[in-house]
Amino acid sequence: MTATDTAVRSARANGWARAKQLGPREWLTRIFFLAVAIFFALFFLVPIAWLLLAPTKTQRELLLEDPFSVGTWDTLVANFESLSAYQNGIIWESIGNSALYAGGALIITLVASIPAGYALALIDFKGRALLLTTTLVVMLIPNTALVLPVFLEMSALGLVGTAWSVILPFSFFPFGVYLTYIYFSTTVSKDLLNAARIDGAGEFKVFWLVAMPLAKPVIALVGFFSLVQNWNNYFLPFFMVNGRDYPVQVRITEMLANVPAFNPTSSSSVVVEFPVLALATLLSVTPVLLVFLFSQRFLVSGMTAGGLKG
Amino acid sequence: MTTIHSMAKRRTGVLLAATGMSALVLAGCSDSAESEDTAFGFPAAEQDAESPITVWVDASREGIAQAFADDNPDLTVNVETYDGNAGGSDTFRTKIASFDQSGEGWPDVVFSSQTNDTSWAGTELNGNQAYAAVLNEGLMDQEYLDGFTEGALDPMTVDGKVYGVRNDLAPVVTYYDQTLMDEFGYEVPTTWEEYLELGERLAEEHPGYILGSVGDSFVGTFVYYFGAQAPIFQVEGNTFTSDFSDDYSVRMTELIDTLVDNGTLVDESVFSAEFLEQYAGKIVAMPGPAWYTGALFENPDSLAYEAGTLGVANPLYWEGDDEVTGNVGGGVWYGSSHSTNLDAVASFLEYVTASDAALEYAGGLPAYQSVADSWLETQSESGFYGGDFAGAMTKAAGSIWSGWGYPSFSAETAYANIVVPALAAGEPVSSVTDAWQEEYLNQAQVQGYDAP
Repeated sequence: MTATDTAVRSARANGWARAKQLGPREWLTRIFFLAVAIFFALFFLVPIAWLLLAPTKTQRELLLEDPFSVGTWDTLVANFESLSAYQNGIIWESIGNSALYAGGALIITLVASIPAGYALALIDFKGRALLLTTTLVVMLIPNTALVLPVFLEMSALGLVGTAWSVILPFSFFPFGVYLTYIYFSTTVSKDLLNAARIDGAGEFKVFWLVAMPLAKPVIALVGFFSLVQNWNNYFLPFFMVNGRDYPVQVRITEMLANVPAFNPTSSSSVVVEFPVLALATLLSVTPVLLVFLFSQRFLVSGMTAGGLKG
Repeated sequence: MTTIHSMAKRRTGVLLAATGMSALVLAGCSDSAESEDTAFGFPAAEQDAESPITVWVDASREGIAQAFADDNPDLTVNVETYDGNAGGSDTFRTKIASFDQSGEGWPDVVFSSQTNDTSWAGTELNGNQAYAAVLNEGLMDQEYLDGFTEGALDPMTVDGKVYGVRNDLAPVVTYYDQTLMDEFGYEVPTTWEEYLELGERLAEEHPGYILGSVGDSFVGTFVYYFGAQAPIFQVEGNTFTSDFSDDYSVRMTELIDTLVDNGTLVDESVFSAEFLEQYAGKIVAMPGPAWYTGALFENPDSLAYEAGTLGVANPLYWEGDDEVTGNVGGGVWYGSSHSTNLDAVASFLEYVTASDAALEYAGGLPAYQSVADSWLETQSESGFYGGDFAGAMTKAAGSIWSGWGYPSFSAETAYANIVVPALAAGEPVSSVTDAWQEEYLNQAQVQGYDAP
């Protein structure tokens, strides 16, 4: 038996001993909080469970059978084929468009916001406080409020209808600058950077060879937040591009218009059933989910960085 | 440090330059490219027969738009799909408003699944020329426009100017279950009075069987009140009126309350699981739009009737009154007054409404009379419905009540917000008509109408 095993057993024994000592009031409190936790867990998990099961059923099964009954693999395949056949597989083009817009913006965001946050945190320069305040204020402005002026700007530049009209505004990410600023302010010591300068490193070398390797967690975090925000953005691409250039979030809304229950008064030869729409919704979040799963080690360390600094 | 300073200065310079440029852009946005050529009844842009056209359609209309492109290889047609301005999305209006701001980018043709867009598309907004081109003052042949089913262009006509062409019609007819009618020994109702009488007999003799639903906002408004000539949603010029105390309105409210009270009218949505579970096979008769055929009765995922079970009869009228009916939807095609190739726009509009292709791609009852006749003939030949299917549809399509208004807001919203909850709470419609009327008047005022 290892020391760890012994420690775990000891902790469990202490826990049980403490539990036995609890009075009725403490027990009731514990049960109350457990019930609240279970209620909220169910509240959020039930719709997700329904959504996961929906594509395995037909429209009729979805309407008439138990909401949590499991359909069949064949139905799932049939729904997948229906989705792929919708406007000759336009859903895949839309997911590709989302990847292009969110991915392009991600690169520009990282190139712009990481050095900006670094400079704001670790370099004293004139106007630093003003820039920092401006960054904070801009963060407070809702993205949708800027859509019309940005549209006019893109129109003047002749970019409306092109990928740039989405990528460039997506790249404007003050929250990333602020997050990087917080990270460098709390995690990277100025002395470390000064040591590099004393060793003869220039400003770029200090940033690239000293600060950047330390910034991996915040780069992952800024990148992830930027990706999620842009992937899920509906309003800006809805304004800027049309037709086959729509990203997946706008496409799903378009598909919704072909669900008879949501748009009954239109005579439609193209009909999207609920299970197909549910499948499209699941597919639309899959890329972000995959990115999260593969990068969660960096994300967690980024989020907790600086938390233990004394 | 010097580097950082110069970077900051450079960034400030770029910001100032960008701000200045934006100001110039905003100042220049109101410039108009339109000339004073008013041969079409509006100031048209300089025309170029080679100019490509951009067409916005919903997914269902993509096929026919692409067919036009294929049949006109010398013309570049960019077909772009959008949500078709589906109920509540307001995509059409939002996008056109943004193009009005930037002074460019308008699509040449737009399909909208709503019938009330003329209220804004045919109007000059904030100093910008009306988006929709006037069609009957030189752009389209009058002979072509005369070929539409009587009344089909009414929602797009303002002060004698036609701003759009109707794609399809959705008149209300009477569906009935021939098997149940024979079994119970009932006659198909032909008037609202007979319908009410049938409801009272049905409730007494065969409880559990029904004559329809008022649980959907489009049914309560367009099937019952519209079909009953109730003047609850009317527009004249810029004045909106709603009168629930009118005799037609009161009689329809009483009819609905009586039938809801005895259980022959139900408040479940016809698209809901509850409706399918409880009332499939128990609908003795039901007034409803033309598209119920595909959406409900023949749909294997919905009521899924067997061929020969259902019949279609003429719409219900008030006894001794005008033979008019309601209408539930029907898409509209608009041409752009900003287009630089109006000839191509005119060709496109004619192609999608009045050609053989229009018949081939029709998803509902076409609005163009000759195409509708052919479509109805084909539908009748399938033998799915008993009764005079083509006759009833034709009669209904040509007798849509012209008194219903098409303002820039929907009649359904107030019904959904006020009447549906009242019905669910077991309250009669008559208990909420005041609130319903007030809601309409409030919405009208918000939209800029005079609402006395």
